[in-house]
Amino acid sequence: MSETPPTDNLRSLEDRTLVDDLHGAVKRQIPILDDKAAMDTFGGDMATSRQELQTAQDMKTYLESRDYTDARGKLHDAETGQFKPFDQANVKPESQTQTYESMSTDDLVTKLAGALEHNDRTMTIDVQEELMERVIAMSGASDDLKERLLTNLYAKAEERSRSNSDNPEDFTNDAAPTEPAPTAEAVAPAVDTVIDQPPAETMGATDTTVATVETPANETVQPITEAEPLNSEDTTQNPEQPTAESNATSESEIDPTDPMHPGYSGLASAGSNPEGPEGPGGPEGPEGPGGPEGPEGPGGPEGPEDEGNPEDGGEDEGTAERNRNLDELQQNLDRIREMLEGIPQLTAELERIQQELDRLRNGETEESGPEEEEEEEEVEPTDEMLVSPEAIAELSRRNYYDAINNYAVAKIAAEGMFAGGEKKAAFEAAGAALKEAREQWLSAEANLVRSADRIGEDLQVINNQERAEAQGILDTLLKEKEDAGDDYDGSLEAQIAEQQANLVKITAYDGLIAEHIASREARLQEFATNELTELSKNVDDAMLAERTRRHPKLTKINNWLQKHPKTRIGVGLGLSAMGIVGAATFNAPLVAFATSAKAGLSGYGSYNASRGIGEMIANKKMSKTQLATIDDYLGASDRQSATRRNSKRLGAAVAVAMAAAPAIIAMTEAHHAATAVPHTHPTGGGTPPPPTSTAPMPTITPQGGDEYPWTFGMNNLGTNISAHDTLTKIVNNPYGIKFVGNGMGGGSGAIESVFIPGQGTFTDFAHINGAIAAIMGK
Amino acid sequence: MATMTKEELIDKLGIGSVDPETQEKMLQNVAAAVSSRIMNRVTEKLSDEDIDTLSDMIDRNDDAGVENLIKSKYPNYDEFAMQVENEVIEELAADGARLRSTMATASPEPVAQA
Repeated sequence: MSETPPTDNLRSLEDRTLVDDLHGAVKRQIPILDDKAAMDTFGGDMATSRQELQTAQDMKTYLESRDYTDARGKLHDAETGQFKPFDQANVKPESQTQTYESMSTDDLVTKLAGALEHNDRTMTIDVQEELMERVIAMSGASDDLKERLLTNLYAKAEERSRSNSDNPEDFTNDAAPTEPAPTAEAVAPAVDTVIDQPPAETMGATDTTVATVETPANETVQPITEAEPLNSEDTTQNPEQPTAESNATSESEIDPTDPMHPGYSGLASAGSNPEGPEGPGGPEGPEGPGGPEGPEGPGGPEGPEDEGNPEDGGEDEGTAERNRNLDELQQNLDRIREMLEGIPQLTAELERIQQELDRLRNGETEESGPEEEEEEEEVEPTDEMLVSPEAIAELSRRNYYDAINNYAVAKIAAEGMFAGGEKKAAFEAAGAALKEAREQWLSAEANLVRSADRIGEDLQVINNQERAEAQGILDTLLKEKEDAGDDYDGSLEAQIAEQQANLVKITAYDGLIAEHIASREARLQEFATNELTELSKNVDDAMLAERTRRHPKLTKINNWLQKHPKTRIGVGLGLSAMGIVGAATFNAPLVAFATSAKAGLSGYGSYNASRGIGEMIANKKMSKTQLATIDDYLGASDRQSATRRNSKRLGAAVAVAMAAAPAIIAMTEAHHAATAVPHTHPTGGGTPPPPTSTAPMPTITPQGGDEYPWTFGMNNLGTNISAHDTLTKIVNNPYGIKFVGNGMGGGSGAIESVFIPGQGTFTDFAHINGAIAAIMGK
Repeated sequence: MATMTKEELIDKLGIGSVDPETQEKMLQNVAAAVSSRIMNRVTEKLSDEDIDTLSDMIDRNDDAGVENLIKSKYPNYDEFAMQVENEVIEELAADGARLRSTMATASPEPVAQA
């Protein structure tokens, strides 16, 4: 009795784990799937778990319903639950004439081994093709698994071939060592061998051929039993014992729809003879991970129960052990089922991620962009959009904003009593750059307005087209009705009414569009003044913030002013006399920007946000509802695709612009600053100012409003913000965020305010903490 | 400027075509911009010593002292504030007119810009 030699091939070892498990389970009806094997087998390869579970379930059900023969050759009747002598050997009657399709996988492997041994190329190819087809037909198995399985089957055949040809000594008892495997197998089941394929049709038959111990068949079977380590005890059996069966039944008698049939798609892999009667002593060819599918082979339910003296009978013990084994198998199945229950959720999540990935992939490679009507809801900015008036205007704003900040810093630096010529020159250069940026911005804004104008013009053209078309259809319908006299279809009347209603709607749209065009001047006025006011304020705030950064105590002064609104230090008297004291009443500028900019200037933000679809939104006579209606109206006609695309393009550009909404909101004109310096362009005329190195502003979410910054940092960021490195990072952040307070100087004082470019200065902890968190990347 | 009415201011800013509600908001924003300008100018005049003094006054709740010190930086603070206000309004008016004019005659072609 030879043990299956260990293998150094880890994968083969893995494969064999599963093969051996099912192999043994089939042979002995013992589930070998212990926890680790189950995890390795099922948990480790989710792709095949379902199939394996189904296979195991099929196997269990099948085995429970089948007769089997114990190691003594006694037949166990599934119906009666009793053992009975089985005195006839069953010889596979037509093994030689079987078609490949009707043969078990293991028979095919044996057949292939024989073909290889006899160098029968035709048979080799035929059998290989049949094996290949079966493996390919496996449902639920991955390609990799199929490939490995097929490789293993071939290897197994080669191994058998080598065993047959190279180790004749191992087949000394082989009644027909030179015969192809199926033949040998047909007579193999003798004495203490394991019944390979207990056929339902023949197992219980009493008139089947009986193999006796004296027959060569007894000797023939020996290699098989030796090759099966799980049944090593079988060899100790008394060869005198009349055996049963043997005779694995003809595979052809098995219903192909039987889950245990090798052709059954859910099984496929392991072949009908999982035990693999490979050569004695030779490695039991790796079945591959597909092994679990193999239990189709109604491997002879070798009764492991009766390993002792055959005279002891052992029916009861055999039955008990079989039941235990079945229970164990059931438990394993339950565990596996529990594991598989989580698969739907994982699968759904994977599907969702896959869809997201596909969407991103498509988006990245989408060339048609907004030109595709079907993609209109997911417009990605294209190069065309990025050079659109909106995008250029936004770029100009950013450049202008950078120029404002640069100018503010340079101006404050140049104010010092001992400021040298270098600082003054830098100030002048910053002023020139600011002026240039302003010119660029004005030009871009002008084109933006012009672009918005085109929307109205396009709308008007389209509306005229719609009206002409609707009128034409109406005329046709009316003519048709007239021709029909009193004998016209009722639906014709409905169509006429529909067109008439359509014309009314078109007329209404026409009026709205006309109003939109007519309100251009008002829109220009509002837009220009709002922009200029906002920019004007921002440049002063930027300079004040820079000055406050140098003199942190100014924050305290500003806070004081905020708390004493009766003081009129900070407001224009004329405006105050008009009752116009600013959106923040009497807030000090730093605070004023934080509050009024958010409240009062929020209108700016929404205004700017809307400009992408033209200035229609800003037109007070076109409410959002009306706009939505127009939008729907535009999308209703294919002929409007040009304008529709234009709207989409603009909308996408706005989306791009809105990504920098804070910057948009805070863009301010600095005419006084730009005109306060000599117009000496440092780089020549006509070119826009180079963008600064300011990094894109991260999203700043106010948070921790009840916590001092240091406490917030410790509790929420896990960071001591007063630590030198952290403080340095905060102070020298690349976003232009500026903090004011003794705490920023490394002392023990507080952080009293934060200036966030594009948003203004805030003194509340929420904004300070939010800015710190953003800088820290948290 | 003190005698300018709101209507005159609206005309000066060139926002007469804007609806009244929006006009009011715009004027509030103008006032906020004036406040920023005034504070900016005020701080220009404050020395480090002044800032320290103001800080101490605030700590002592000396509100009158704070106001007086700030106003003392300008011989006629009200006039100074009025000048700043006028300055802002004049800038907005001039720039607004220019911007509107530019927009009105804007070329339909995109601006060539890097």
